[in-house]
Amino acid sequence: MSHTDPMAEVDLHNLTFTETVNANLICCICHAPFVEPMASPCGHIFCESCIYQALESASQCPVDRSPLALSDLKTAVKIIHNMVNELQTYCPRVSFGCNHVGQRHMIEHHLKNDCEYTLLPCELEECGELILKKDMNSHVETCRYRMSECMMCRKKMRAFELEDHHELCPAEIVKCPHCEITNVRSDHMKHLGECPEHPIPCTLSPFGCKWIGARKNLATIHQKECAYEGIKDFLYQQKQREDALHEELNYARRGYESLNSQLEGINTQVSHMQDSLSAMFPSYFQSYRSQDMYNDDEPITDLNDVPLSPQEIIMSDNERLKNDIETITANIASLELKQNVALMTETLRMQEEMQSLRALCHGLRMQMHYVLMERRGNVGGPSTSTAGANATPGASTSTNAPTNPINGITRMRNWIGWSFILRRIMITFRLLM
Amino acid sequence: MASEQGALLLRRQLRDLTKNPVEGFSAGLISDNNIYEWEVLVIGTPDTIYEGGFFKAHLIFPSTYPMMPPTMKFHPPGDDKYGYEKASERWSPVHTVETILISVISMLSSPNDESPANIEAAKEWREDYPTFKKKVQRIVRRSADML
Repeated sequence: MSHTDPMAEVDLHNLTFTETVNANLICCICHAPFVEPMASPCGHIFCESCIYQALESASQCPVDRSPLALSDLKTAVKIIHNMVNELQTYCPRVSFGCNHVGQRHMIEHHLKNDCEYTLLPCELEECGELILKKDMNSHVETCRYRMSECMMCRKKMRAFELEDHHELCPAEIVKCPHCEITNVRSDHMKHLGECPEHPIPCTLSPFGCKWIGARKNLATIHQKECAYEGIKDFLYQQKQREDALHEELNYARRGYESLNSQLEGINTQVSHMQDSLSAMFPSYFQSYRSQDMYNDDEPITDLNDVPLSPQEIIMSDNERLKNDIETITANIASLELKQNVALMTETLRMQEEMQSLRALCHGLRMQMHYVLMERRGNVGGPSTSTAGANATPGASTSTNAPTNPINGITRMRNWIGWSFILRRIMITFRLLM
Repeated sequence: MASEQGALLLRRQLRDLTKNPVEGFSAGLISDNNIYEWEVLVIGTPDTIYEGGFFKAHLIFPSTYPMMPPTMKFHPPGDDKYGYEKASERWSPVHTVETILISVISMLSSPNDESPANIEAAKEWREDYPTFKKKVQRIVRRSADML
């Protein structure tokens, strides 16, 4: 608001005019006489700021809604400017007491230079108070931030500090309230320490003497009648003893505290130990600790009664599983051994059988040989004998069969027997494989 | 500055309306320290079905007034719902409380049923005028009783 900020420009929309303004000079948006009138092509006139704002919301003339753009606006004719500028208006500071009346376009100049009722900040930066221009001179003289000088010590300071300073100024002359001697304030305290009229308590007041009186009366009057004076030595002794006891007590307390902290350290160590040990022997230490919580003195009597904690269950499960695995491993090992022995015996048996078969085979071969030899001897013909020996038995029989029918039949029978035996051997081998 | 301009304009209108009251309504602030919230009393126009009624309404101005229109809420006597009017596309910054209320008063006697604020009321007005009239008269009676 222009009322509070003297530096702001005058709001020409917010002026009071001496006479009723002709309705034709009133802007229909702000309902005040035109400020910087602008005319639209449709013939309507508005304040410059009013029509600019209106066109931001809608690009049309606010009066007749015909399309209107910023570029269409033109400054209104000079006569309108003159008519609104020459309107007689009161100074905006009229509520503060300014009685100035003038033309509207002069009002800004009046406010800036002539008006005695504008607010100005105090020249002193620390003050900054807003003062009516007409009051500025008197304010400067009374401003609490103005520099002033202490009349006594010649020190410079701000006015409001001076008030406090007066009570403390070391150069001020102070009269002793007891002995009428005057002193500078800085020496006054020293004087009070020796002023014979200054009231002081009895020297034995710590022991209970309630006497307070002028210093000069202490030695001359009071000490002669003070009830404490007689037992003064005893009291001092007592005090000494008390102090010594206090000191001792303090010493003992310190010792106690250090012991306490040591104990605490040991306790934490023990609990650490317990923690690490309980990982190794879960059932023992956990039960120990759980009992520990309820009863410190009672030793553990029966571990089996203690209910199992989850860790313990897991641990025992673990143990059980480990045992199972061990048993299984042992079983597997024994089974393997058994298997090996069985295999070995079987192999041996097979080998024996093979041996016997091989012997059998050999025997057969020998017999075969013998038979062939016999036939060679009977028939002769080296060519056929070699062929029979080398070729397969089937082939030899088939070639020789027609030559000797009877011999052929016996040989045939023999052959059938051999081939049968051979097939059996083959089957046995295949099975062995 | 924009919001201050609105407040300035509203203050000026309030001053003018108090100094020179306009026939057909009276206007004031809901609370003295908020220039943007007005309470108006529309007086039922003689020779219409609204004759004898007093219709209270609130005019709530945005801080952007006069560039943006206020909202108007009727407070009908009785338990009817609030009437509500906001005509942003038909708004122009030249409108004042006075012109708004004169529009409202003229609209009461010849409503524009093509863009009604209260669709049910508009339907009734169009299709069953006797019932509409009866309802209005009931409201008029009740509003007079409440004063």
